[in-house]
Order: sequence, then C-alpha cells, then structure tokens
Amino acid sequence: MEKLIELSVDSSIRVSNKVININKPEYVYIPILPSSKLLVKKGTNVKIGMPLINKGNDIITSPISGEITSIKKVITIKGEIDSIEIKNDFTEVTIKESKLKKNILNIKKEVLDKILDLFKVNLNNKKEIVLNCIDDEPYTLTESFYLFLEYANFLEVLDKLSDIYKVNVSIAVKASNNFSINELMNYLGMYSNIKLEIIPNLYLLGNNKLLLKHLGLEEINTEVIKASNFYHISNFIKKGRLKTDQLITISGNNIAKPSIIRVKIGTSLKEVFKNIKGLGNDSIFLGNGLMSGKEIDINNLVITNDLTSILVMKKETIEKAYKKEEKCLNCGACIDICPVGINPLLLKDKNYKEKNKCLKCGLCSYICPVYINFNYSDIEGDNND
Amino acid sequence: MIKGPILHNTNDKKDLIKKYYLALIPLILFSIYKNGILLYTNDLINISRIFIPIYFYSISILIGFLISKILKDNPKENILMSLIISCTISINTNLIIYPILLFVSLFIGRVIITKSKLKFNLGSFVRITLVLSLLLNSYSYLNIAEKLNKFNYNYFDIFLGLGKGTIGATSILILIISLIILSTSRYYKKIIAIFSSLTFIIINLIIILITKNYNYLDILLNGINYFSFIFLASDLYTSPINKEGKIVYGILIGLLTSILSYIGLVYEASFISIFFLSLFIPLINKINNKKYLKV
Repeated sequence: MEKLIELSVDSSIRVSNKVININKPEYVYIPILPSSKLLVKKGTNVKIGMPLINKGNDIITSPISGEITSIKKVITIKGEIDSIEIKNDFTEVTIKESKLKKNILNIKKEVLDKILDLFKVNLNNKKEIVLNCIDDEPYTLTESFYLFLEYANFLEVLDKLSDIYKVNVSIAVKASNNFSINELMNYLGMYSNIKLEIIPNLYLLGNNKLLLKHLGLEEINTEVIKASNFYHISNFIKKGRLKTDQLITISGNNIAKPSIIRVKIGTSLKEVFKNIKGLGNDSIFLGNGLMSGKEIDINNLVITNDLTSILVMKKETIEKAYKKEEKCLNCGACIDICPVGINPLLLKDKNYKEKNKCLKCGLCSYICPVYINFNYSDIEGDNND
Repeated sequence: MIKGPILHNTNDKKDLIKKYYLALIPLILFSIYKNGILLYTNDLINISRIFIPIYFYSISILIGFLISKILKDNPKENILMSLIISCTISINTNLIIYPILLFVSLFIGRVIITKSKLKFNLGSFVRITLVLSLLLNSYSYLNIAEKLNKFNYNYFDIFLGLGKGTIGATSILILIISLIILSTSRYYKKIIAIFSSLTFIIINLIIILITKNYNYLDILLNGINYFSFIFLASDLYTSPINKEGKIVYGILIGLLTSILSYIGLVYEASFISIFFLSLFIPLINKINNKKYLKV
C-alpha cells in the first residue's frame, strides 16, 4: 500500500460545497443496454419509477413522468448508444410508491435480500460492510456529498442492515473531507455498531479492492458499497424511490461558481449547463476527472451513472499540461507505481494478456518523467471496479 | 480529443538530470583540491598543473556538447555522461589522446545504441576504451604525491577521499552524499547502486577475513567502484526495469567487480562488470515476481 501516492494538486482549481438541484429537464434519455428488453414503446406515457428496460435482474426505470417520444442515438461518457427519449410533463407522477415504501423498523431479511439484490449487493455470509465515500479524482466530491447530504438516512439504514445481517459497519471517508467527518462525528455516538474510517488522501483508495487492502479486510467477508449506490438503496428502502437522480461535481478553473448538482438521470448536459452560470470562455470540459477522465462535448452528452464529475478547464491549462512525450527512459516508475502490477509499457502490445487488468487510473502517465500517455483506447478498465 | 491525466507529478526527467549534476559537483570540487591545490601547496606541482583536472572536465563538457550538436541529441544528457566519465579517468591520462578517444568512443557508442538493437552501458563502454589513452603514458592512477609517497594517510583519510584513485572518484564520504542526493529522485535506480555496493563490500570483507590480507582494504576503500555503481550501473537506459531485476543486476555487478578486482583489475573491474552485464539486461528483465493486487 506504500505504493499509493498523494497527487500534486493545482490550487487554481476550485471546488464548492454548494448543491444545486437541476431536476426539471425537458427531456431525458435512457440508454438501452445491449441485449436488453424494451418494456415500452413510442407514445407510451410513463410515470416516475415505471420499468422501461429489463436486462436480467436489472430493471431500468423512468426518472420522470411524461411521454416516450422516440428512440434515438445519444452519446454517454462510455460512447454512443441507442436511448429512449422521454418528454417531461413536469407532473412528477410516480408509480404507487406506497407499494414499494417499506417501514424500516419492521422490514424483514427476505425483503431486504431482494432489495439489495436489485442493487447488486449481497450481505449474506458477510461479516463487514464498508460504505465507500471516497472520491479518488482530485476536485471531485460526488461520493462525499452523497454521504454529506444523506448521512442521517445512511446511518439509519446501515444500522438496520448491521442489526439484521449481524455485520460490522465502517464508513470510509477521506481525511480531507472535514465537512463529512464533522457531521458524522455528531451522529455516530448514537450508532455504536458503526465506525468511521478516516482514509489518507492517497490516490486510488476509492477503489473497492484497494480500500479493502488498506483496511486489512478480506474480500470474501466484506461487502463494499459505494455511497452513490447506497444512496439509491437507502432511498428505495426508506422512500420506495427507484434510481431517478444522481449527484455530479462541477468544478474547474474556468467556472466562477463551482457546485455539486443533483440531476435527473438521463438529462442532457446541454440542459444542465443552461442553469450553470459563470462559465469562462475557451473552456475544455473533462468528464470524470483529471486523472482518468476524458474530454466531453457538453452539447451532445447525456448524463448516466458512469458520469461523476465535469471539470471546466481553461484551454491554456490543458495545453500546458500536455507536454511533449520523449523517448522512454526505462526508469520503471510506471511499473513500480501500477497498483495492479502490470507493465504499462506493454499496453500497446496486442498480445499482452495482462492488459485487461488495467484500471485506467492514469497513475503510470502521471508518474512518467518523459510524459508518456499510456491511456490507450483499446483498454477496458475502470478504477471504480 | 483529450484523454489521460492532466495532472502530472511535479518531478520529471529534468529534475533527475539536475540531481545528477548536483551529485557530481562536490566530487569535482574535491578532485580539483586533491589533484591540484593540495599538490601545489605542497610544492609538488607548478601552478599550471593545478588546472589539469579542470582541463579534463572542461574538455569533456565540450565533447558532450559537440556530440549533442552532431547527433541532435539532448546536450544536458551527453554533457552529463562525459562529465561522469571524466571523473573516472587517471590524472596521468594523455591530455591529447583523451579528448579524441572520448569523442570517438562516445560518438560510436551513441550511434550503436540508437541505430541498432544492441544495448549496453554507454558510460562503462567509453571508460573501458579510455584505458588506451592511459596506456600511452604510463598505466598509473597515482598522482605525484602518491608516487612519492609524500603523505601518510590512514584509513579514515582514505575514506574521506585522500587515497589513491581516479580523478573524481576517491571520496566515499562524498559518494554517500551523492547517493543521498540522487535517491531523492524517484526515478533514480538506487536499488542497483545499493545492492552492488553491499555485495562488493560483503565479498571483499569475506576475502579479507579469509586471507587475512589487509591490503584488500585499499580495494574496499577505493571510491571508483562505488562511483561506477552509483553513477553508471544505475544508468536508466541500460539497467533492468523491475525491482527484482534491479536487485539481481546489482548483486551480479558487485560479485563480478569483486572477482575482477581480486585478479588485479582494480580500476577497471566495475566498468568491465557493468558493460558485460548490461548486455544481458533483456534476460534480467524477465525476472519479475510482481503480484500486488489480483483484479
């Protein structure tokens, strides 16, 4: 674990703890996952929470009420995909929430099992739950804010889970997130079975596997739940509300008022940015951070669960950051720093079997003394996996 | 489209090169004192000969610069290489042959490394060829005071750098400081320097204990081997890339240097070892036991 490092940060980039609700989009676009079953058709009127797409156990529901107007291609952070276009009627009608709403005091284990299964969480035979509230990317506070805004609900649900499944609960928070730590400290006294784990500001400890390693916990006995996922779990358990909205950090050095936005899933960024003031000229927009993110076009991109942050950066900052690559020095720093122990120098090699282990965390490029960019497009990886 | 980290570590190659220069400065200054000022103040040389070490350093800088211009290469790297090499030569090196040989061998070495698939440690290759410029005078690494046995130094004085040796690589104390300076860069391969030095020290101590021949302490306290372990063996381009490889490479260099020193090649042992073993880097690179995290 001594290999993980603290990233050098740019003080000109601003982050904020202000939350803006942008929850009345005119249209939302729900991506149709490959080999999934479409449960609605053009012209159907939908309500919030109504199933739209079914893929195995996954059911994707409508985040707004309105009418399905078309099936069209949209661009998400992961690429181009067909989607259902829903025109908002702004009535915010939900399917019968009372059917879904549970009384947390009387909830039974069998019911909880089913709910958790919906969110790909399994607590049977587990000894620990770790709530992962760590944002790895600098200037991103999305996971931290799920906790910050919802800590009371989170603690209540975690307490119930701990009671029913007989598991220990830890909440992992980055040491730099003073606001979350302070709030939690005030409440934790009431929950003796929940402990706070303050995690050092080292890059990649937000990765579930690396976090477990850092905490000295075994994967087989522990369920790590990201705060973003737990937000939907606790919303479902307490309010019967399915995935309708999400948080996104908007920061950067070319935005006057950075903020955390709460948006409906499937909102187009174009609509979001109509509500964001103080954007500077000559901006470059980066989706998902400075380390593992990429440039995005805010006029075409649609918000999905995979998008956690948008950085509005001055063009000159980005141009300065991209220094000319030089010949490899053979220093081995990229190999030394790789958290999964692969050789980034071989990532271009089609026959390199280990390349699919790549987390795309960007550490190899970050550390390279001659500015080699190892971010090759044919690698499939995700540092949150 | 922009992809990949916008953030970068604050240190880069320039920082490492700076540290190499910084690590060399105390060695160079001490060599000017030992082979010039000290001898002059003891009336062993005339004033013009104070400048011999400075001549070697200056001509090396010039040649490094010239080669960079011809090969359109990074001048800082070439000057650094020739400066490192100049610290390893004898004060008795032929003043005219030295620049010619340095230029030819450095140029040929650079061309071979860049144009062919053959990779070897350039510094040690050049240094081996430079023995020729010493042979044309007399093969000796002793300055005039050492030839006349003018000063009677104890082992601590030798540790400080007053003993016999090459121009700029006698002081183990300064070499330790140089190693510390270089180790502050995460790109410097300190493992190689440490493991080769430790292996060399252990083997020589064993030899001394077995043979009871304390003359080997001179070899043990001769800075030239440690200098080559610190400045040449850890050369980035021609050294193993993974931790296990670096350890094996370091140990093998220390071992081979000890053997060659034992058979009499005291001042060339480390260069021959580094050059020879650098030819096997691709093989050594195959040693890798990294298993940090199974994903």
